Amino acid sequence: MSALELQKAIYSKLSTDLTVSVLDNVPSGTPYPYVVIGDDTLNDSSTDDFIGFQATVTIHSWTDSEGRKQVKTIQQSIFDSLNRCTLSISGFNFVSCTQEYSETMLEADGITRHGIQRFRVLYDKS
Amino acid sequence: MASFIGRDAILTWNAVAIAGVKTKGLTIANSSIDITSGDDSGIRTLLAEAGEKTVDITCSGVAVDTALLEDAMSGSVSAVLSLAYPAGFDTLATTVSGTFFMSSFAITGEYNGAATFDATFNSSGAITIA
Repeated sequence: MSALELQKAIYSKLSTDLTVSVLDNVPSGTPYPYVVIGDDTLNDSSTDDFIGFQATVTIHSWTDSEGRKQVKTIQQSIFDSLNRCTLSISGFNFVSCTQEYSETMLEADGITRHGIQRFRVLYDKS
Repeated sequence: MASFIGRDAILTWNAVAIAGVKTKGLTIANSSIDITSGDDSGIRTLLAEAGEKTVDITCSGVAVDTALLEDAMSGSVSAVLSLAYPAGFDTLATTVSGTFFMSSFAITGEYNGAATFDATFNSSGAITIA
């Protein structure tokens, strides 16, 4: 399954490179800070002779630290890990991974900082 | 006779399928010979045969090897090109083939996307449809 293999590859890369927890499901009571691999979208990018995908994946950073310093530090480490990196996607040829945008926001509780980054990943299968 | 999906039409250059193709096209042009004269009451009249018949084939896709790049650069710009349509398009599979001249080849890559290519081939001599 191409989307799952992509998520596994991103998880492997981020959990190796980051010092904070990288999660898919967040158990209740998980202490901040942590990073969540969010939803993805896969678009077809095939040719006559291979199956290709153009995926966008959203990575969320969560902290309750005062100010934006911690969330931006985590976002920088995510950028350093993923932007123009090489992912090992099982069963696929990796082409590229590029950050499309990054933003931070303060959640409605006035405490929780939320960082959002979206990456575009190209990969294909002969 | 039925419709078919484009990827089932296989484009082969020098006996090797061109890799990474997303789009291919075939255009046949017959140049007309105008024989209108004063006898035609101002109505155009064309000779019932083409002055020149040309077949042009184009293809574009994702660049995954250097086969066409090397041929375009090295001078091996004339070779047998065939476009094989699948059975279903007609009762039997149909192949258009002949000697073609690679008149253009371009490869383009953006910094954040897969590199793409496109090529144009012009017929030279007789083209067979079988």
